[in-house]
Amino acid sequence: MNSNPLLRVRGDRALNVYHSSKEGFSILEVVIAIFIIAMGLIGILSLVEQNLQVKYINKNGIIASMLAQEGLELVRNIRDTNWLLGIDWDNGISNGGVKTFRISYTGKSSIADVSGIDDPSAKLFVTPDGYYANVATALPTPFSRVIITSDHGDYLDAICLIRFKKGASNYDYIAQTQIYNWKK
Amino acid sequence: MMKTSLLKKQSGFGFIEMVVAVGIFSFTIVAAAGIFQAVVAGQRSAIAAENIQESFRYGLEIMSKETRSARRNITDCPSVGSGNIYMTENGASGEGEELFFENKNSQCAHYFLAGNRIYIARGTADSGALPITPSGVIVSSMKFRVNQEGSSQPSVTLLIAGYFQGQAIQKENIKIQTTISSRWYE
Repeated sequence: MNSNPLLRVRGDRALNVYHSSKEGFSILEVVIAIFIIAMGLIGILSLVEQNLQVKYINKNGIIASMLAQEGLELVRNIRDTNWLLGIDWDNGISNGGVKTFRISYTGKSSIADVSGIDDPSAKLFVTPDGYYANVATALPTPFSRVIITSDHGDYLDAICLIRFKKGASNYDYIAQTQIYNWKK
Repeated sequence: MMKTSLLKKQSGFGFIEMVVAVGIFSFTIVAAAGIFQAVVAGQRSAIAAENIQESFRYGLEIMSKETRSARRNITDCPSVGSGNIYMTENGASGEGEELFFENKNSQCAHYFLAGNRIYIARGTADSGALPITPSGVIVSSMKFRVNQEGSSQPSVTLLIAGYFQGQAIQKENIKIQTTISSRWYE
């Protein structure tokens, strides 16, 4: 009836199918299909997760950059106050070499030497008044802050380092300036 | 003969097969829809975060630049008080929600919060005050702490907290603090 050999072959095969066994997907095919679909979904899900993580890092990056700026302003403020008080211009902010310390918005009285950024006493908390400071309270923040000054005689090289942790990784923000004794 | 057997033996999906297929299909669709929803929610909250961060950064930049270059007021600004660089509504040292000072152009600046937006007024009256944060950004609190003890160089600690107006689940709270030391040396 059908003169086209190709169609005839297809027709025969179709008949064979019905005659022999029903051919569905094998379990292996189903498993592979589900696996591929799952991989796709997991891929999208990890993108969402990454999106949220970037958002968290961006937000904390802005807070960190402002806190870094604050650290250097506080050092500058101490130099200015030392001038006004007529004492050594670098009193409290230099030890003649490299000094690593913490400082809070309350100024000179809050200065204390720390061993480094991972020192627990460099951690910032939220005070009852709502400020970020190195005062241990029940409200910890992910941030730590240290100031590192190197004495160069007429000026100080001041670095403010902010670190916050997300999971196992550290995110560091560094601000640097020179504090000169230009009034001498 | 062949044709009849074909017709007889023809079978579609079995009921179980149908149920399983529909089950798998709907499971996949539900999972995909859930993920899509998460993507949309994540995107919205990312936009909210972007907006609040941009507004706060701008506001802080404007305020800290002008605050840093404040002059010592003698007679120009009655609200600052004679001999002061900074003044809050609670005095020349300590904490307040409004800040008064004389800026480098000898204008009287007044920073305050009204209707959850930060306003800057320049001049002796608040009538010309302009907001520096957009209306969608809710500034829930703004604090100024003037640090001045004895003859110390005055500094201002600025703390602003807020969020972007939107659905509760996408609320992006942020609190930013910085300190500005006066550059006025007279």
